[in-house]
Amino acid sequence: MAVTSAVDPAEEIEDLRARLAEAEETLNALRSGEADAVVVDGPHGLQVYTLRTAVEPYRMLVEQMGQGALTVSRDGLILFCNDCFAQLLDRPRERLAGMRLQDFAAPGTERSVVELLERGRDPGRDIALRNSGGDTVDVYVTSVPIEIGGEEVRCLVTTDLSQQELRLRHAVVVEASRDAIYSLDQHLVIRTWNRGGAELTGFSAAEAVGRSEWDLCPPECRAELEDLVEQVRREGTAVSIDTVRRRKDGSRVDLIYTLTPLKGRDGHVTGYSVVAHDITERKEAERRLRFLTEEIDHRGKNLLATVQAIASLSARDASTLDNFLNAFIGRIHALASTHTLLSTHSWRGVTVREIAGAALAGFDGDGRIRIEGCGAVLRPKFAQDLALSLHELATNAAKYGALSVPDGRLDLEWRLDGGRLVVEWRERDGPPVMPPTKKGLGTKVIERTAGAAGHVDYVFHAEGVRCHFEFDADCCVPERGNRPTSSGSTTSGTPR
Amino acid sequence: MTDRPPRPLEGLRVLLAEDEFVIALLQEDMLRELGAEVVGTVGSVGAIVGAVEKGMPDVVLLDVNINGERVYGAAAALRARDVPFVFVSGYQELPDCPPDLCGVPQLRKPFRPGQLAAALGEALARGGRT
Repeated sequence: MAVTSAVDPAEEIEDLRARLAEAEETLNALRSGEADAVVVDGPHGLQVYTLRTAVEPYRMLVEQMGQGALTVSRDGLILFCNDCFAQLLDRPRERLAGMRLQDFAAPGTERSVVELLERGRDPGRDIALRNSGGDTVDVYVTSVPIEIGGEEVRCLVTTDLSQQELRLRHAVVVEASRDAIYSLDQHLVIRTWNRGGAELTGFSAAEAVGRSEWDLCPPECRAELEDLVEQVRREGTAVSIDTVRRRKDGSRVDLIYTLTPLKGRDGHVTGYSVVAHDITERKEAERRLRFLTEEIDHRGKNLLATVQAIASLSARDASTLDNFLNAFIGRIHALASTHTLLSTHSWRGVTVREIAGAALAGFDGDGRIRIEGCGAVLRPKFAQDLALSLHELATNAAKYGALSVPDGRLDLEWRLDGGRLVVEWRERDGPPVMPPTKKGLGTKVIERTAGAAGHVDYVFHAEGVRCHFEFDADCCVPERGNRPTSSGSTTSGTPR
Repeated sequence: MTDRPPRPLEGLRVLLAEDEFVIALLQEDMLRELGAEVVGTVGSVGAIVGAVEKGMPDVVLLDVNINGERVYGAAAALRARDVPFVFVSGYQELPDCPPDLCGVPQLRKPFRPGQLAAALGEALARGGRT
């Protein structure tokens, strides 16, 4: 029989269907052992079909495969197609038989389809088909000619490029991910492993595949993993938990761990996929936040305790409420301005120049105050102590000392002496100095500046009050000694 | 300025370990008003044990964080000598506290004389072991 385009397609299909029916019969006969070869009387004379044992398995394979498979006549009439091909075009499989492949070609690719049909054997080409919704489906198609009943037909295999492309892209994404992405079989044995898994755990793909998830799971997380697997199995959906896994070197890594069931066609769980995201940094940030919260609490309470102490002790010295308020508020201000300075420098330390400038900021007296020293930086605690002491000295000087008269002068100098910080306060040309009759808070504060980490000589010299502070080397912040700073509103000397 | 309690700590010898000297000054005043004798004030962790040996206090007030240094090592040394102590801190929960020191009486800053007296009394009642 010569099949040409002139022949009515309906007739042609009838003919081919009849032949397929014959083939079915033959197959049945063979399966039941009735025959091992069949002779069919065709238009070209007698045809002998020898049905090899592989035929039935092949059919099953074609039905199961994830690619489209179809046989078409030379003219493109679809004789047979599998489910996958029907799904590709989104049409019922039984309707496709008898239709022409060319009619599904997307505009612009008809010629390529015809060429494919004419060539018979084609190693593969990209064509575009239209599905029932009118959407274009890009497919890669290969063709092999075979002869059925004397007719040459084409066996085509189509690969959905959109799926293929998607898979490729997914593969790239998985491989590029810094997360560990891997699959497990139903016994939790690792089957695939990406680069992220290697980075996260130290196990290469070769070392990981075949290993059990239980090997990565530290003992304290085993019960949790058992529960997780059980839950994922039962619910059939992905579940995420915060957990820990062991690296190759035995160290632990904090993770967000997502277990997703992989299901077979019948809905049974056949394995799992795992996405594990390293949250070490987040955990570290949480720890730091906790530390900072505690630290704020501690500092806040300490500050309140200091304010409480200043209030109580100021009250003991004061004879009137006004006296108390002046002393108390002055000290709180001294405390506050040192806090501002420390905060500006992220609580690393403050230069003596800044401390001196802040303590004497209220007393700019026509150049009678001289502030001069090096760029030494005091640690926060000692900066606060010195600031309060200088505040007390300045307050006393303004009340009774050199700063209480127009001609009085004050020198405030500091230097590093063999690593130790020496600060000198010298008043002169003030009124005659009289030592105080009782030790107030100011004196106690000055005498205790630097505590055990130095010493203080506080002298009521006849010419003016002198105070000599010494701080041990470790009261200072090293390496930051020459930072340029301003000295407030008072005159400043040149650093030595 | 506050209601002066009686002198419940009459004759008690107390050592202070506190680096903030203004706070230390107030604590000294409080202790004296409660009748106690302040045998010394130290501002560093390293000086505590020496000051205890020298001053022979009945009880020690230990700031938990002295110049950024934790005081737990010195606390263990005091316990070994059966010297009772009280932890003073601004922390709600003592940071990194060794489990065997968690039961030590605590004072949270800022505190009032009555709280100070109660904490010292508790420490003395327990003796050197807590």
